[in-house]
Amino acid sequence: MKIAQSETRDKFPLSTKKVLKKTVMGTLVWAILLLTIWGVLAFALSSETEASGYLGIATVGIFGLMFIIILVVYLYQRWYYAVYFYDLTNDFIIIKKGPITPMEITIPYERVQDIYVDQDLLDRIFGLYDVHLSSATISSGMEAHIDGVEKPAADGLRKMLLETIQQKISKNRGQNLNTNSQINQ
Amino acid sequence: MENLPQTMTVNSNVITEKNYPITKLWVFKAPIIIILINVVALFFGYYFPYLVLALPIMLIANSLIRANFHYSLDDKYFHVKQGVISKKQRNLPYGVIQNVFVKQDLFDRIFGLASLRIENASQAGGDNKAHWWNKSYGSKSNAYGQGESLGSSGNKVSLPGLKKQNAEELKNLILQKMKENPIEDSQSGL
Repeated sequence: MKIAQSETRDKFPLSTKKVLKKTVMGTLVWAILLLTIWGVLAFALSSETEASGYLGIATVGIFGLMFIIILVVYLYQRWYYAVYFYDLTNDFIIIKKGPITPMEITIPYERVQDIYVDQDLLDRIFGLYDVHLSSATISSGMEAHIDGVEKPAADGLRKMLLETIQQKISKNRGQNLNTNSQINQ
Repeated sequence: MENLPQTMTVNSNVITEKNYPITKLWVFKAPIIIILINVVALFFGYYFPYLVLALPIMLIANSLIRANFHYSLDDKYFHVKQGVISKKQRNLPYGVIQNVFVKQDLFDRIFGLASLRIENASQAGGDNKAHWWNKSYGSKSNAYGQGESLGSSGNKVSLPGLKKQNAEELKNLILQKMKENPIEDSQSGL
């Protein structure tokens, strides 16, 4: 599968563990549900000696279903990982994701309101970080994040973003000062 | 007295919906989805006769909305004019644009369309007054909000049903204009 290339992604790569994490996340509920059903079935059928044949069929069916679910989710997440695109250009932050229904967001650096790095439980287990950034709109907070990078990449991204934003703002402030002084003179 | 918008349309630098039109297919998008849902529902033994009645109304309404929607990009502002009965005109300076979205849903992906969305930090695009018929439960500014409406509502301006290539070109144009018109007073908290 062809992986989406950008300068930023080359420099701060997404971790391949992201695929694993997302697969676990996507299949955990199904796995628990199916295992519960299997457990109940096994408990109910174990008392009757004649029904052991049915239990075998049920076991094969349930574990087969689980395998198919895991496989489909895994392949989808591989695809998702491959098309995940993010780039910090000179003027804008571009993040694009979604293999089937693509969604691209472009934010100018001057408009970024905050940057934060967080981890949920599975992120802690896999050692991954999510770098979030948002402008003043609600949807940007929901859409603009780079998920599943490792510690050095997360720190690097954060540092690079903060530096660029600082640069942009101070540049704009400098212009402001100039115009102000011209007005004063 | 000179009419300002007319003088602007004479200017060849101005980009309007004639350059990057909203495709006619957009008019049929909702009806096609409804028909598809109905066909699928029929397989399961359900049918919704009222939805079939709604189809012609929807077609007429959508084509009227499309015909009455105009946007234009001049050097300083992004103008949007819309409305069949109640008219609305909105003028966005490029500097205040917070982010630009390009997205495709499944229908768009199949037919090679894309929708472009521009957001600023205001909540003043109308449509946010809570009447009993359009109580918004915060889903208006939801990125996953479905039923991509045409034109400005809340803090966003949507241009759905553009051709994919046109959407990309228009996005690059808007980004270029944003670069040319930087905001002097930064709102960033950083």
